[in-house]
Amino acid sequence: MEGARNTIVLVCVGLYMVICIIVGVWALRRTRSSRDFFMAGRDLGVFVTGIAVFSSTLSGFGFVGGPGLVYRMGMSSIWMVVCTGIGFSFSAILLAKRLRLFAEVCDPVSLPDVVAVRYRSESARFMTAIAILLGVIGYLAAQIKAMATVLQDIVSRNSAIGDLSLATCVVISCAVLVFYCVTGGIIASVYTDLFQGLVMIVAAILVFFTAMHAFPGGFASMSETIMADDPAAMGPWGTLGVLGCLSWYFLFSLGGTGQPHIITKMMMNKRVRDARNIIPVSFLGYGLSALLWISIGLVMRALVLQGTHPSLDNPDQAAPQFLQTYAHPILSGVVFAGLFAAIMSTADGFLNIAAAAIVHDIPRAIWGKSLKRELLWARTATVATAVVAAAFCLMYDDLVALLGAFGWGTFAVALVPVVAIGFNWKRATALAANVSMAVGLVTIFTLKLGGINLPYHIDGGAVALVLSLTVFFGISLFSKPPKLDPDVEKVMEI
Amino acid sequence: MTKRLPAFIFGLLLTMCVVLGIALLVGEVTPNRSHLQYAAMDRSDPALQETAVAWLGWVLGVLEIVFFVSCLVLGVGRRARGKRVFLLGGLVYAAVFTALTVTDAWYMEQDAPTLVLSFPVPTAWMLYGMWAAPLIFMAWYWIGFDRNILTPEDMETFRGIVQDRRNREEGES
Repeated sequence: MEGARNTIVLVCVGLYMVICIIVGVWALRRTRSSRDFFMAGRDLGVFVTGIAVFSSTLSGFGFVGGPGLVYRMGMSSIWMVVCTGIGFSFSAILLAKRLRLFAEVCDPVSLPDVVAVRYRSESARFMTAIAILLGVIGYLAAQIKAMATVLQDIVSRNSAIGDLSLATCVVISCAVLVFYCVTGGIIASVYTDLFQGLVMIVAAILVFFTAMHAFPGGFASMSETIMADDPAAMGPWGTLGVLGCLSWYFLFSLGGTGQPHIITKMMMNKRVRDARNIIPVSFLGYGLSALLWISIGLVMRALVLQGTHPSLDNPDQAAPQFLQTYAHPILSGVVFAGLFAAIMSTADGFLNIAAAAIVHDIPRAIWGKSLKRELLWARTATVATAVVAAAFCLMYDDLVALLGAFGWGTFAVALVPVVAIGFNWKRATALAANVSMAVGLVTIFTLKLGGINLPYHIDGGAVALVLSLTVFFGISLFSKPPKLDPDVEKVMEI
Repeated sequence: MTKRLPAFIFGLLLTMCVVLGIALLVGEVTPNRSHLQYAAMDRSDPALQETAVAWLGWVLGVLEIVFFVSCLVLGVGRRARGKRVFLLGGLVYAAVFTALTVTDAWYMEQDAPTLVLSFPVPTAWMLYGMWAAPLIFMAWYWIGFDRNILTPEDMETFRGIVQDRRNREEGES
């Protein structure tokens, strides 16, 4: 069976791609309008929504990028996992009920729809749509890069196919992704989220135990090996340092409440009261799946330090090489399939919200109405977004996780104040929303595109988030209280 | 208290701006240090482990925790009961973070650090403590959902709002 490892992995991945295509075709028959394409008819159950929320959160960023960062920096990136305790608490208390109530009152197709009604402002809708597009490009690029990196690694081990360039792997990955997204819309996204979420949980638990046994002495021995080389790497701040880690902690704790591909799903459950159980389901799923992030990163660093495994050229190779070398072939195949599933369903969510921003929200903000033949334009916009994101991923040589952190940060700086805070605070004004989004986006893009690094490895996204929140609160507090839609005001009292 | 909460949160944010400002002004930008043997691995930087930086980190961490808990209270709103759990939870959260910081100061000086569930003591505080401490808030949310978050009376009020809105929209069309 070991001799057929690569073939087994390719078969599992291929089988998963076929399942995606089948789900896409099935969802195509249920997608008759732009409302179906963007909102799945607001008919989802607790379990489906809960698993969809967590699997949208944990994606290529977590499965490829996360282990890569642990390999590179030690315990530093674990702050992105540890933050889920407070992060999911934010989602529960600040958003779950609130979004679902707004969804019933506003009957939205997208998150900017809800923002427009809450702030009574088409400019806020426009800014939100722009923020979504900008965030999608960075984050989607990370997903595409993760897919292409993994595909390249798998294919390079198959002598019949040989080496493929990263660009070729990007094209192949995107072709399947786009077909699936264009045909199935959000319905396909949510139901593959359910399937791949369950696969991720099972895979992560099995990988955790495999990692434990891959290194003699288990995690205690891994810790000792890494500490012997560099004690700080196993300390709570890793090699990044305290301020860098705390900046990530801030950004990733709050940032979940500003991720549109995640929070939009909280508007899709059938009953308002389901808000009680959706987030705990998501939290449990994420917690189990994060075992993979922690275990693979640590074991690969320890194995390389011990001399058992060759040094990696690129930290993003940690997960694929671990699976190819140390996991049972069938487990390896299942995890690779789950990995592609995780990446693709998150990417599908991005493409869906970007399409909504382009064909629904921006035209409404500018001309007061959506485009005619909205569903056709939505599918066209989906293709265009994928092409732009693919080009971005090839232009930027960053690690998957760092590209993902930029995308996460872009959403966070724009939407955390406007949505997570503004939907719970009646005093928040449209002016504050618009200015805070502008300040946050200008800051994060200046830092990223200008290649500006900050002292003590402080993350630029965290600084931008602090600034945008400060501006949001400051302008709102010093402005006249806004006049809200009467129904929105009553709902905010609940 | 709830009316002054946004102003308090604004004050916290301004304080965080000052702390970050100090760090950005005083610190130097240093590149990631590559491992001497393995290029794709980083190694630690002693400059990041200085006492002054550790203190700045503790202050920033406590500010973050107070900010987080304050935002949760903002989300809970005026009417929810049992908000003392947020004060208690916040204190536990801050205590765990302080324990992490204090034990980390000793960790680097030890030749053979003690392991707790396979991780050095400060890392165990991070992994098990910082992850678990905020769950008190989620537990409050889940257990007290019908009393504190969405009561049957709330649902009735909400249905009335939705029905009135639909009636108005039908009347207008």
